Amino acid sequence: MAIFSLENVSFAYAGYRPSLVDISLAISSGERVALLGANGSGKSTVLHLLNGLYFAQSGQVRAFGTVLTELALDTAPFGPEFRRRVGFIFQNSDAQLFCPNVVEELEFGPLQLGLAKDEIRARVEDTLNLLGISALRDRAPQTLSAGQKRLVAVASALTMAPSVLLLDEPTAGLDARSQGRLLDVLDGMSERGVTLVSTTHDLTILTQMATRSIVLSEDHRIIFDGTSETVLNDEALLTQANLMFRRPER
Amino acid sequence: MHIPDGYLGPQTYIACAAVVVPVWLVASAKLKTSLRSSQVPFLALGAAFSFVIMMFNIPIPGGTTGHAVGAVLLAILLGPWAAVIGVSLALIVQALLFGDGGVTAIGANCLTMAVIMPFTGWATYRLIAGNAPATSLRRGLAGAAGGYVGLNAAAFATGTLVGLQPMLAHDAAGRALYSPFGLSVALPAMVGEHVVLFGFVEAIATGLVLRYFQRTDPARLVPDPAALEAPRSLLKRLAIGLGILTLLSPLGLILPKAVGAGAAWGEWGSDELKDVAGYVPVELARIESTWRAPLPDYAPPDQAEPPMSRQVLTYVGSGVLGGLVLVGFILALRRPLASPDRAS
Amino acid sequence: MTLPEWMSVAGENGPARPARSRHAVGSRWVRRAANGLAQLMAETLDQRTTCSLPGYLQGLDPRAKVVGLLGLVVATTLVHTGLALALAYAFAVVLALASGISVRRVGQVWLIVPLFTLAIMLPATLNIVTPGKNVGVIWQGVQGSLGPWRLPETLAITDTGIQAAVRMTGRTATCVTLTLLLAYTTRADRLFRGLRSLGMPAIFASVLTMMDRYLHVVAQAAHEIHLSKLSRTIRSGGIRQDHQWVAAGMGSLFRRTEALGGDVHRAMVSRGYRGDVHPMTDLTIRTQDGLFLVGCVGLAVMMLGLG
Repeated sequence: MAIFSLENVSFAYAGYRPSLVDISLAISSGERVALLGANGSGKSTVLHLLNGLYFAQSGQVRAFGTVLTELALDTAPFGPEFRRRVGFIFQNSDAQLFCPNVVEELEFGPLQLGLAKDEIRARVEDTLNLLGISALRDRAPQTLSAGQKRLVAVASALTMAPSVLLLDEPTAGLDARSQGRLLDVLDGMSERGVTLVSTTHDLTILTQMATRSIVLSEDHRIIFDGTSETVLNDEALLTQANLMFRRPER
Repeated sequence: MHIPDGYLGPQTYIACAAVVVPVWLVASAKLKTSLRSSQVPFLALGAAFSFVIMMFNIPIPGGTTGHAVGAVLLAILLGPWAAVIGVSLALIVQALLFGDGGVTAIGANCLTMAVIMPFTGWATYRLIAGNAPATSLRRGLAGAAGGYVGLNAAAFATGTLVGLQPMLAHDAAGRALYSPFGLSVALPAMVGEHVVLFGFVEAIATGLVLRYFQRTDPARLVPDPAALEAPRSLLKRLAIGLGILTLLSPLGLILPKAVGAGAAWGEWGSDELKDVAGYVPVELARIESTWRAPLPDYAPPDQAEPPMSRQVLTYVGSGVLGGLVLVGFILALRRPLASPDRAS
Repeated sequence: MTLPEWMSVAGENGPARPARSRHAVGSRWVRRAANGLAQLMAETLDQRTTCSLPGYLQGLDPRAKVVGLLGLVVATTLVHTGLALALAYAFAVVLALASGISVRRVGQVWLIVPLFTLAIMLPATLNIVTPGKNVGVIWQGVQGSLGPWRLPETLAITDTGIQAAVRMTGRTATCVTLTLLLAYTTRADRLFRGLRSLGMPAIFASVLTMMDRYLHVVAQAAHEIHLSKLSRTIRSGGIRQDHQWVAAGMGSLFRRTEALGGDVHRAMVSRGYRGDVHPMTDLTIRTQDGLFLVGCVGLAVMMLGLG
C-alpha cells in the first residue's frame, strides 16, 4: 500500500536553479528505501517534500492518501496526525536540537501531541536507554559530540512513536560505535513495520540501510529505482551518478 | 553606551521601564501576526545575531577600533519591531548573564538602544532612501545616515538620562546621589564622542553591510509594500505627532510658573545665576555676550517679562520654526542623493 | 597530473624570516575581536560548569534567587551609606564562596565594571564637581586660562568627592557581583523558566531560552569568520579593504544565522509545533528557598534602614 507518492514533481528554491525535475516515485508501508545521489542532486529536497516542509511547484506529493499542501498541513486532524506519524532527522543536528537540554528535546514532540506527563516521562526514559544516551540527559546540545547529537536527534523523533522515519544523511560524520547503534535502532524500527527513507552517499553501508535504492542524477532526475544490490554492482550507473569514480592505476 | 547599575536613580529607571514595556508588548503583538509559528526561532536567532554583531571590531582611521550597536541595520533588514525585540533581548542577556549593563538599567538601555535608536535610524533611512532602486548608492548612504542619526539619538537620550540625575536625586546638601555629572557635562560628553567618532563607526557598519546585500542579494532590501506602511501615511503620522508635541510644549512654561520653580538646574543665564549664586563670574558674562540668539529663551526679544500668552505663542512658534528647519534640512538632502536613473 | 611550475616550492625548511616589510600585518584588531568571541564562548561554558557545582546557591529554586538577588540589587541602588553597601557586598562574597565560586573569579571577571566606574568618577573627586573640604590640593592661587576656559583658582580633591567616588564604585561593584551570582549559579533555561513563573510572558521565556541555546553557535560562526581572515592576511590592504571585510563578515553571519533560524523552524514544525508553548516540569518551593528569601529580605530591610 503506497503511503507516499510523488507524481511528476518539479521543484526549485525561489530564484535558484531547479532542484528536482519531473520526479515520480511511490513508497509503500514498511519499505526501507535509500535515496542516492551526489551533492546537489536533490535527494534532501525529496525528503523535505515528503515531510511537507516545502511544496512542489508542479506535480503532486501525496501522503496517506492526501495531497500535501500548506493548507492540508495546517488543518486538523490531518496536520497534527501527519506530524505524529512522520519523523524527520535533519542533516544539521544543530537545527534539530533546539531545546536547552537533551531531556527537554525528547519531551518536545510528545508535549506538542498533548500526552500525559507520566506517559511522556516513561517514553523519554525508554528512548534514552534504547539509544544508550541516559548519561547525556542534562547536557546542553552545544556540549555534545556530532555522534551524540545525531543519536539525540533520532531519539527526539522516536518519542513521538512515528510510523515513518525520514533520515537525511543519518550516518554522516558519525564515529563507528554511534553508527552501529543507529543502524541497530533502524533495524529494530524496520522489524516493527516502520517505513524508513534515508538519503546517503555512503555506499559501504548501503545494504545495511536499505533494500531498495533510488538514484538521482546530477541533473535532478531519477535514473534508477531498484534493489540496493543491483546498484552496488552497476559501476556504469554509479559513475554516471557521480557516486563512484575510478582513478587510473598508478 | 550600556549604563551600569548605580548611575540612575529609581525614579529614572522605573520610568524608563514603564515606557519600554508597552513598546515590547506592541512589538511582540505585531510580530506574532506577521511571523506566526516562526516567531520564536526568528526572534531568538535575531537576538543572538544582534548580540554577536556588537562584538565585531571596526577599525577607524588613527589606529583605534570601535563597535557598532547594529540596531538600525537590524531595523532595515528585519523591520523596526523585530529590531526592538532583537536588540532588547541582546541587552537583557548581556545584563543578566554577563554583567554588561545594569539590571536596574535594563529599561533605560533598552529605551535608548532598542527603541529610540532603531526607530529614528530607520525613519531616517526611509526618508532618505524613498523609492530608490534596491541597488542604488542612495540606499546605502541612507543606511549610513540612518546609523549615524540613530546612534546619536541614543547617545543624546543616554546623556540626558544620566545628566538629569544630579537634579532628580540629591541629598539635603545638594550633592548628587547617583551620577554626579549634570546635563552640562554628561550631554556634551556623550553626544560629542558619538557625533565625532562612534556615529561614524555605526554609519560605516550599517552602510557597508547594506552595500554588501545590495551586491549579493538586492531583493532583500526592497520593502514589501504589503508589510510596511506607505511612506506617505508614515509622514502624515509623524507630522501629526510632532504637531501635538509642539502644541503641548508650553507646558514647560506654564507648569514651572504654577509651582513656583525657577529655571532648570544648570540651565542658568547670567541673570538667574545672579539670583542663585549671588554673583556672575566675569568670564561667563563675557562669553554669554558673544552670541545673541534671535529668539532668546524661546520668548519674544526686547521685552522684560512678556505676558504668558505671548510667551506661549512664541514658544510654540519656536517649536514650529525649529521643526521646519530640521525637516527641511533632511528633505534637502534627498536632492543631492537622487540616483541618476530616477528623477527625485 | 602535471602542476604548473610556480605552484610548489620544495625545500623551504629553513627558519621563516622574510625581509622586513614596511607594512605591518595589521590584523591585531581582528585577533582582538576573535579573542573577544572566544572569551564569550568560554564564559558561557564556564557558567554551565559553575551552575552544576554542588554549591549553596546552585541548589536553590530559580525564583527565590531571582527575587532575592535582584531584589538586593534594587535595594543597593536605593542606599547611600558606606555601611549598607559594605554589608551587601560582604553578603555577596559569602554567597559566592558558599557556592564554590573562587575569590579569584570574583575578582577578575567581576571588577571590570567597577574599575570603569572608578575611572569615570575620578573627575568627580575634584572640588569643581563636588564641593567640600579640600583634602588633596593639586594647585592653589592660580590665575590664568586654558583657551576659552578660565582655570579654577584652586584645584583640589575633596573629602566629599572621594566619598562620592567610593560610594558609586562600591555600589556598582555590589550590583555586578549580585547579578553575576545569579548567572553563575542558575542554568539559563531554569532562570528563564523561573522568570516565566514570576509573570514574564511565556513567549519571552521561550525566545530567551532558545537565544541562549544558539548564542554559542552564532558566536562560533563569527569566530570562524574572524579566524579565516587571520589565516589569510599577509598584510593590511588599508582601511577601506578592512571595512569591506567587516561588512562582508557581518553580512555572511546574518545569512548563516537567518538560514539556521529557518532550519530550526522547520525542525520545530516537523515535530508538531504550531506556535504554542507547553511547559513540562513545575518548579516547587522548598524550605531552603524560603529561608534564603527571608535572609535576602532581612538584609534589604537592614540596608534601607541604614539609608
